[in-house]
Amino acid sequence: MFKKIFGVLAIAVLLYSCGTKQTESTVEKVNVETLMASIDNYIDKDVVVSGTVSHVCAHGGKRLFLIAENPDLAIKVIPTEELGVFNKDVEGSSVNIYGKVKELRIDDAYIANMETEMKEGVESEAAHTHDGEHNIEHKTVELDSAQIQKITDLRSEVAESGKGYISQYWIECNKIETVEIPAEETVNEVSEEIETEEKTVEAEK
Amino acid sequence: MKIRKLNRDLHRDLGYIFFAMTVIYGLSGIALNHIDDWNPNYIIRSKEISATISTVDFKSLKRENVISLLNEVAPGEKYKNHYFPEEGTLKIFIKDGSIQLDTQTGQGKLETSKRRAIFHQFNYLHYNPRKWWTIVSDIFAGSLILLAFTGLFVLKGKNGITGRGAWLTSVGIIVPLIFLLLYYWNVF
Repeated sequence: MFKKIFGVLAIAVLLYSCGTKQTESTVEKVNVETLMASIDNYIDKDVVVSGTVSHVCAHGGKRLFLIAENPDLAIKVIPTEELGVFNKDVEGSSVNIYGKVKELRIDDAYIANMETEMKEGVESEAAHTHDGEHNIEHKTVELDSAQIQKITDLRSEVAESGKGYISQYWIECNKIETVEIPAEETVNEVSEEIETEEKTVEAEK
Repeated sequence: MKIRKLNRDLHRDLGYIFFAMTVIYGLSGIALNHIDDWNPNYIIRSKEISATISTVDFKSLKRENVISLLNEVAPGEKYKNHYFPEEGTLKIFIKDGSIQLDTQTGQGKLETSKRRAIFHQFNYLHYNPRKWWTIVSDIFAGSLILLAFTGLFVLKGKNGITGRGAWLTSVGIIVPLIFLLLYYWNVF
């Protein structure tokens, strides 16, 4: 009886491990630059994104910002419920983020709602910026000048987009992996290496 | 008689079991209540620094140059990475912190963060990091309600719920009620 149970468990473990490997191998690996260049193609897809962590929210570790070689290119990363929180120790590290790319479309209705939420003292996710700053002083009914400016800017961006909305993207991360950088490499050199790796993979395909 | 004993035993045992959880949630509750005033997870220290930048070529900055710069402004700090967040600013990541340096003036700020003992761990749990912990904390929350009700009937007599207990329980009900009237229903 014991042998039978053990045998069934062993098979189950084997099948599970095979399944896991297969899933990981099918996930596309990109760097932040490649991702941001054609992010609409990755919405709701599982990806592994490599980049450098520029900031981890120190209050709760509920978000981090991943930057490319060009630090103007950045994407917000939010942990899944299962992952919980990010450790501040990863700040400045080169990492691989495993997760799903998500999009939030900001249109006039969303902005109106955001304005109401701000007035009610609710901090909207859209108020977070890629530099890691987030104003948590949203407790007054009257909006301050910075908030009014933010809303005005968003409305202008939506109007200028020509699509009726602008998009905010983030990665819902279920696993984070720190990548060791060899002593002779800088952050820029690492990004170049990833690009070379991708080109090689594409050539092999 | 039996019910009262059962109630007392339940109150006592739940109190023992959830002693640690009560301390965890109580302490982190206070910490998170004041999250606007302090960082309950990390002790963040910052220090003004000044670097000699006349010999540094920031346009072709190599890792070893940054390490030399780091050794000058913050000896003993371990280099992790660096980048230019904007033109004229160099950010050097070190173990447990970062340095932001103005490449024009050489002036900058060294910021280090250290986990706040006990609070970091307790707040981590308070943030409900994982599914299973959520289940544990739900059980705890349910048990708190049970503790509250069983607590009402631990004692009999003048110190029980029909005497002193009635007054104190009323005070405990009135306080949140006043705040609801004040803030939620805007009565006053």
